[in-house]
Amino acid sequence: MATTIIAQPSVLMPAYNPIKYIIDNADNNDPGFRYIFTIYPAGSATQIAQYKTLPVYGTGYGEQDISKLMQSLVTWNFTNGQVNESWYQYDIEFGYEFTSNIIYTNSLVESGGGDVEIQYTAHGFVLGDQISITQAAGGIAANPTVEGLHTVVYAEANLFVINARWDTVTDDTINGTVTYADLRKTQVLDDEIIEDQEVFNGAYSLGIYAQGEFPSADYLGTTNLSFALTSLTYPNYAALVSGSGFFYYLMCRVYSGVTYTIGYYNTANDQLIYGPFSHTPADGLYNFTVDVLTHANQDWYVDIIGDNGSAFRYYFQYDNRCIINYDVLYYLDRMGSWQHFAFQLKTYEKGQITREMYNQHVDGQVVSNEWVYSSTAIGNRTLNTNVAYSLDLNTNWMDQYNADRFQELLTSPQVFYVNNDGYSYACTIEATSFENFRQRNKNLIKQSVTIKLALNTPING
Amino acid sequence: MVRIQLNTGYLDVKEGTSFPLNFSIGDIRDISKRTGNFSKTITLVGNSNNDRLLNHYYDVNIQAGTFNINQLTSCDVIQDGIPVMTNATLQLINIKKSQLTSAYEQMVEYEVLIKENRGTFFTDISNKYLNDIDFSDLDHAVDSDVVIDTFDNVLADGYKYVMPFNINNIYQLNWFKPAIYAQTYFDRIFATAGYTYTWDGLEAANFDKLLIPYNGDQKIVNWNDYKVVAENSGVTIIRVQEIYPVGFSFSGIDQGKLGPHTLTTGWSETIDTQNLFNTTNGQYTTPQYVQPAQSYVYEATMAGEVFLDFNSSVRVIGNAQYRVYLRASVAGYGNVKCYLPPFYYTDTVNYFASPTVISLGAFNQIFTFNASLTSHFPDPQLGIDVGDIQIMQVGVDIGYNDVNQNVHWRQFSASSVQTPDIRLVIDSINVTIRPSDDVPLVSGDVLMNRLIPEKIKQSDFIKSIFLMYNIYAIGDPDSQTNLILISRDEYYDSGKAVDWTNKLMKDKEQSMIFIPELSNKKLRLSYKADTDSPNTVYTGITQEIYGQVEITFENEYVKGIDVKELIFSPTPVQQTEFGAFLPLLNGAAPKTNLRILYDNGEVIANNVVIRSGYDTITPTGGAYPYLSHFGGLDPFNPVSDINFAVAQYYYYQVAQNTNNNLYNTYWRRTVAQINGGKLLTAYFLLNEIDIQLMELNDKIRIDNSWWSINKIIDYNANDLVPTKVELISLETEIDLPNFG
Repeated sequence: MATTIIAQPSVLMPAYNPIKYIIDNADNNDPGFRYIFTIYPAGSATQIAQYKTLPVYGTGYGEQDISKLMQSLVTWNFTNGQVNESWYQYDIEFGYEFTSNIIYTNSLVESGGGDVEIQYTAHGFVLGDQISITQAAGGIAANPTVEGLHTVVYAEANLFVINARWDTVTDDTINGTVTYADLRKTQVLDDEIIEDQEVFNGAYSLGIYAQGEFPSADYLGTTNLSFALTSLTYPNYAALVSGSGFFYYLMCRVYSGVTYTIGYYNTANDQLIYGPFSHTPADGLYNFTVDVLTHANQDWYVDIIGDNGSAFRYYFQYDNRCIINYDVLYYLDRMGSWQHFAFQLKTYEKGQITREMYNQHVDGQVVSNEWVYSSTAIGNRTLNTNVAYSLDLNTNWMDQYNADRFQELLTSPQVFYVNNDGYSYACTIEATSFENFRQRNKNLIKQSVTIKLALNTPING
Repeated sequence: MVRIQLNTGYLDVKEGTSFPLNFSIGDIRDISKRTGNFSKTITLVGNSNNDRLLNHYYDVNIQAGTFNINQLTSCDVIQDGIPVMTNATLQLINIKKSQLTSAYEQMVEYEVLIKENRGTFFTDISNKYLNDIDFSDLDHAVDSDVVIDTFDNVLADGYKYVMPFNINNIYQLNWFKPAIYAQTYFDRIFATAGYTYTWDGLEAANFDKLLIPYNGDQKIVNWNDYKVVAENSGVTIIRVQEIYPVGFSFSGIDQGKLGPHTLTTGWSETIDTQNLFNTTNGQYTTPQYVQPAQSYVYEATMAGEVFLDFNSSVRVIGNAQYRVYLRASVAGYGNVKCYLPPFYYTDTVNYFASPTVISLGAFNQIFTFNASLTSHFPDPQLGIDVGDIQIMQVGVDIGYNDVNQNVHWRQFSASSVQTPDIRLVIDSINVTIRPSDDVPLVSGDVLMNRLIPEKIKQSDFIKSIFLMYNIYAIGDPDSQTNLILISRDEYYDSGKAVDWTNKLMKDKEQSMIFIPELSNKKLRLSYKADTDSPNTVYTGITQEIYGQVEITFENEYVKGIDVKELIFSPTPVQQTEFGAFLPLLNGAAPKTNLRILYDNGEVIANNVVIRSGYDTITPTGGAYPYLSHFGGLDPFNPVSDINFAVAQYYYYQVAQNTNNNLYNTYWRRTVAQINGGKLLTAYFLLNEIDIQLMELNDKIRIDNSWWSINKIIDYNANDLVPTKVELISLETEIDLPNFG
């Protein structure tokens, strides 16, 4: 029973895209057949999950998508440096199970004790086994006592005897299938193995109309002109940088033993600041902080060069416009890196208050031998007060590329708001719809967004 | 915010959904009902964390991993960092999923239930029976002396033999049946379910003195103790025939029968508790004398084949008959043979050239025969004595109409002739040897697992004990698997005083109803009726069940009767002519409904003799176990009673009866609470601190009234919202705090 791999995902895959394995087995019509997919952490024997699937009607293939499982094993971290929580490496084993059975084709014979003897090479049954026999067409009529449940009363390597009398057999040439009475199964878990498959906390898309094949090799970080795991486009467009101190985290696939050096250059290829900004990460994913700490005053690009021959390069557009606010939103982009978006125009901060009250018992007091209410007694009591803060943020004018980035910001699951004081606050985007402006239709693009702080102010009682 | 803590992490609850927790220990609407804390359906979000902790069960193909839907999963409910329900179990009951995009299993939600652990105890035992419990550690050898020795047994011994009522002082050994202590059952039910219990009032309630007599018709010892199961791997036996000279007889030459052959080799055994069978020589040593009318029973399955081995050219005259037999020889004296159906051989034409083999036929047959001894010469002996050797014999008898004949053959050759040898090939023999059922045994091994009342559910047993003592089971905060058992009155007396005056949400409707309107006009607490003579006579005269109590409530608007019944039936007690007070059980026909008796220890009356075997007599010296529904050594002046109330009459004249019965001791205050009680349903502003500190026996003060909690309904741990609470007014005898 050989398992054949029909389709498999790339070595490195975004966890939020389909991660589907398709396998085949020539014996998938056997009784009780199931394909088995077993997933382990890479190099470990501790099982994470096991799936048993029926053959797909029509093709007979076994198909299993493990993307949802992988999504539960990766997450994000808003930090620079190693971020292996966004990455998971696993091994997957392909196997199968089927109801243990033999199909005998030799004629039945009489045993020494007058019972029915079945001859089959290496049948595997032993004395005392409870078995079930299903004969081929005509078997029930010809050999009624052979059909059904029996006990093995004698067994050798290539024959066994059941507790059915030979003198009831009228046609010894009818074939039959023998299974254990409890329909126990034969199971093989590791007929084929794929090791060191990787996923990261990302979702890859070519655009809103197409999913596209994920170009895994471009993101593996082993070639000159490698891609970081970011939705920033390489190298034709430049993302806006609102100013010094506002950074990007570029998440890259890196390898232990490799030294990575970051260099910043202007468009004339002059180095802007000098290092060394070298990193020696462990195997996995790494957030490189991209920030020209000294005010660059010009457009620039960053090179992350690994001594294994890999090179990552991204362009950034210096934004030197006058600003009203230094409000910035950091957001997790589709591929797991962190980008920022500046909201330079006026910001509006709002709050919403809700209260719940109930009427409670009022104690009185005795004054001059008379029972009266106390003037400070509380009848209606506030049981719960909530305040929720929201901010309306406004962008400056922007080009088509950054307008597209804004769309990604609106749908990002993780966003942090940084205000003028430089403090970070977790927040949620309130927008439920958007219009993706096209520069060819609308020359000037400006957007607004309302955010709600994720942590409410506590109120005493 | 509320979270559910598992051993593997925290489950996230869906925001904005209800997390309804219900707290209750009993319900005044049904005084026999015991409830626990539980949740209604709780919705969990389908995020990565929950997916991982719940083993990705949204995928229909997933196999059980660290979380298994079929196994109990422990959990605590934590609201804003404060545990509001601990020692609970979580059950995943539903997974809802939808896909709005092409993403695989995009949106998932889980629905779970949470149940307090004491709830799972009753679930665990709900389908188990008393005879599922192993009592083999109480197995023992028994004879009349052992029975008498158990009369002063206590709980630590586990069991005691019950002396049933008898008209005179002559008893048979088999009338005595062992009774296992109710607490022994109780302990093992909890232990096998993986639980323990703490019942501080156990000894005060004398629960350790209650016995459950065996109520079936199994004898305490039977032939199983002397049973032997042996196997023979096979043997070939040949009867070589005599060689006759030429022309010996024109009328034919004789062929002789085979055997009897004693089976001395090839033996092994699988059961031989008393070591009676010797596998080296096939001998069974008689363990006990049996009279001629009784016997030892042999059940054997023998497989094999019979052949005729031709030595010279002969042909049979007529239709010859060959019959294989088995029998048991006792003390060298053969018994009746047990024959197979005959094999026939006839061929009046052919002379077989030597050597030729003919199979007369194969057999695989069950033989059932007896070993007995009515008399034999020269040493007259009636019955089989202890030590007599029994051994199996096999053979093939031959003949025509009668198998005790010779078969005649005609010769062909001119040389000397010989009729065919008879060859019996035995492939296997499986035999069971035991005394017959009608042999009265003197002694034997008592297997206690055979003497456990049948078809009694463990849950029914526990519920009946709870009903007798009006017991509440509460979870132990220090142990997940320990239940604290406490009687209702003790439980409510020990509750702390709590002021909920300012938590009452007065702007919401408060409903107050009168508890008698929730119940029937009458309440009957009773044992179960039985069909034995003492009970049917009592019921026929009084129209009541022996030991019952019937309470009539004052409310005149209600009618009907509410019956709360134990699984036990009552057992009246009567004085015997030898001065003992014994439960009215029939030793000769012991099958009854389940009983429960109070063990007052060993008491001395006049002598009784116990007969065993054919002629063994053992005196008791007057000792007997005083088992009754009454407690106290003096039957005329009892100090306690496990009946619910005083009976209309007794089967002997009680001098000074006791009022310390189950009703007065454990149920009177409950009934008083129903008779004059009120049930208030109102909304309270309860938070996680209130729930954490709340115990269901708290005495709740609201302005100028005191209440106890009947139910807390749907406390929402996921939001601060009003909680509906049912309170019942306190009965007047409850201990209240010092009012200063």
